[in-house]
Amino acid sequence: MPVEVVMPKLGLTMASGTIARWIKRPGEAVREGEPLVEVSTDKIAYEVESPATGTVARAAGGEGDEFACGEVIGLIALAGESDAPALVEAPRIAAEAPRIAAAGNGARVIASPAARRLARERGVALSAVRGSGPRGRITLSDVTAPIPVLRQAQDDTRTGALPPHLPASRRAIFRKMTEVALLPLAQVETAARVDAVKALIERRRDFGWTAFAVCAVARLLREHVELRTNAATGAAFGHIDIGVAADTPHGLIVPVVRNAEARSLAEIQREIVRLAALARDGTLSGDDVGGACFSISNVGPQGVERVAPLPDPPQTAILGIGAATQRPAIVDGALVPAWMLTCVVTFDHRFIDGAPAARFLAAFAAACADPGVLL
Amino acid sequence: MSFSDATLEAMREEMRRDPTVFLMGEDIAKQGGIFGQFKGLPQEFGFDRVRDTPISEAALVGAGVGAALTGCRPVVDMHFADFITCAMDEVVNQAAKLRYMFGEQCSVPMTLRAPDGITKSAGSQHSQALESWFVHTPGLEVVVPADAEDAKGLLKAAIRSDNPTLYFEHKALFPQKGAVPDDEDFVVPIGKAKTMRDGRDVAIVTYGITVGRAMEAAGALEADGIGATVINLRTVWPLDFDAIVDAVARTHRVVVAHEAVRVGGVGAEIAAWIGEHCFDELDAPVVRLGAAHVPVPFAPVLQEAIYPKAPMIADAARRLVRKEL
Repeated sequence: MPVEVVMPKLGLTMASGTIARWIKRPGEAVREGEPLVEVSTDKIAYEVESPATGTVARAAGGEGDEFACGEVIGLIALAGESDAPALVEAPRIAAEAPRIAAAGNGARVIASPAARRLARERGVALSAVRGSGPRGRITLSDVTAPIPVLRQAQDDTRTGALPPHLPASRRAIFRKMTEVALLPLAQVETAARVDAVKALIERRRDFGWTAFAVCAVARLLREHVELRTNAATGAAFGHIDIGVAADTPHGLIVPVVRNAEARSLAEIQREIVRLAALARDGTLSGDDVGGACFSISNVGPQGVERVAPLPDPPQTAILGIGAATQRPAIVDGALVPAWMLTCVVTFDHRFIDGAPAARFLAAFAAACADPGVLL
Repeated sequence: MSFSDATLEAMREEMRRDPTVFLMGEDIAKQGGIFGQFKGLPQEFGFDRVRDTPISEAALVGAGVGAALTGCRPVVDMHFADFITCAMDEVVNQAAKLRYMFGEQCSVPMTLRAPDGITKSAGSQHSQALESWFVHTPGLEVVVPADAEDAKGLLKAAIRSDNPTLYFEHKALFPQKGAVPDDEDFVVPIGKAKTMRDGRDVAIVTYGITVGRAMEAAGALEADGIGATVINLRTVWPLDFDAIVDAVARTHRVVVAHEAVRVGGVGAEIAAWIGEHCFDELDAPVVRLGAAHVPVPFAPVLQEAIYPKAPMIADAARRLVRKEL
């Protein structure tokens, strides 16, 4: 029996992938583990390795054809197997093969109730997930399957509408930002007094500015429900998981602090440190990324005072903070030095109006002035 | 302190604390109970408060119900839980119903001590675990201690309870030793479970003697890298549903285990309840472990083959975690 090559599922939200390039052509010999085909998603480009040693018997679909995750995209004939049919024009089954999701034959996806709920919350299409349980049942760990370590695929000038010399690591953000550019985004901005936070950080030394922002935002989002609207459903995300933008050698990655509202400052700090290390090494798992209801970008470490970041759909808002600096302030008519933090909330105006965004930002500034309420 | 001594201490403390507490049963005063669980009490409290009775469970429990109605707190010993069948009318139609039928004008603060379970080839008529019958009967509380601490704390709670309470104590637990808080006010609240250990991969919900077996299983699972939560229910009615929800939500995979027959057992109620209330938390079907639906065999080899022990519990948990179920 020839061995099937399937469209891999590389991330939580990946439902389909596009063939970017066949590295091995039908009739060519290939060893197990050798790069076989390059696929691309809205996030990454990825080289699929051959699952077996043999001959490429069939390459279903050519460059630019899209397949659902789990769908067969090629066959590897083992030694001694006839590969004759493949040497004829490789049939393009992509166009005619029924998509798993659209099978329409009443075949029900078998998934555990917990897996179904998680998939619903994270916007994962179960039809694109391969189940590892009995009878192929999709279980929790299948929905949170680890994302393979990203390997920079070879540059390919023929990948869709992407600029020809764009590095693979930028393709995902290129597509994402092209999509975000279409959104009606609005912003509110304020400078918060943070003398109290600065004093607390210096006294406790077990958390930093990002952890503070995550902690404060998570607690505020309990009440400020609009700010965690899910653009995919129009309703609020049911969980308070906060994305934290991280600068890594692989580019911008946004790992997620799960259930941040229930965690202490010190726990959030430890989680951020853990996630940052994994992000640097490219070893984040599916549980560590995706599914955030809100994100935070902190350019303080770069010493810059202001950032106005863009939300990451289906999230509809994001907070940017800069470096806390001493600035002149007027208190009771007197000019005094005060530690100030510039905070910007960018939001998708289709879902969130200026007033709730401003109320949220004001509440964040109040938490900065009196962080005791968080502890 | 042994489990048996823990029950002795519970009775002694409650009898000192409350003069309306007294004990009745077959061979408990002169002989001290077949497991020594009444030894020394007549010497301290006299033969009026520690009474030997004729061999008639109907009369014994009937007298207990009557004494309870008139303001006493009787502790009635059934000798073997199996013999409770001879007093079913007194337990089910009288003790369980009277508080309700008389509009709370009376209550039946009676404790039934019921030594149960499989041990030493006692045969089909002396080996049963019958708690589910009484869980099914509205108006009763049912507690099942797992160790010496439970033995003392639950017996004191049962004696203090204003409701008729069945106290199922496994015969094989009597000699087992365990730590018991040295505190006269130590009581294990009825309706509250105890988390014996915490693990993220699977929850074993159990009670009574099977708690020890589950802990042994959890130790074996840990060696395989599987973290098991073990919930000791302590009370099987009213059940601590909060503890069950919490365990399911943390692990998403559940084994319910008891020595009683699996069919129609307490585990069936728990599994069904989880299906109704924790559906979205489940990553696999709830696994129920219990004795085979057969009379408990006399032959030692057969007897040992029919009920869940540590390896069976560990195997079920392992198969759940490995997605074989």
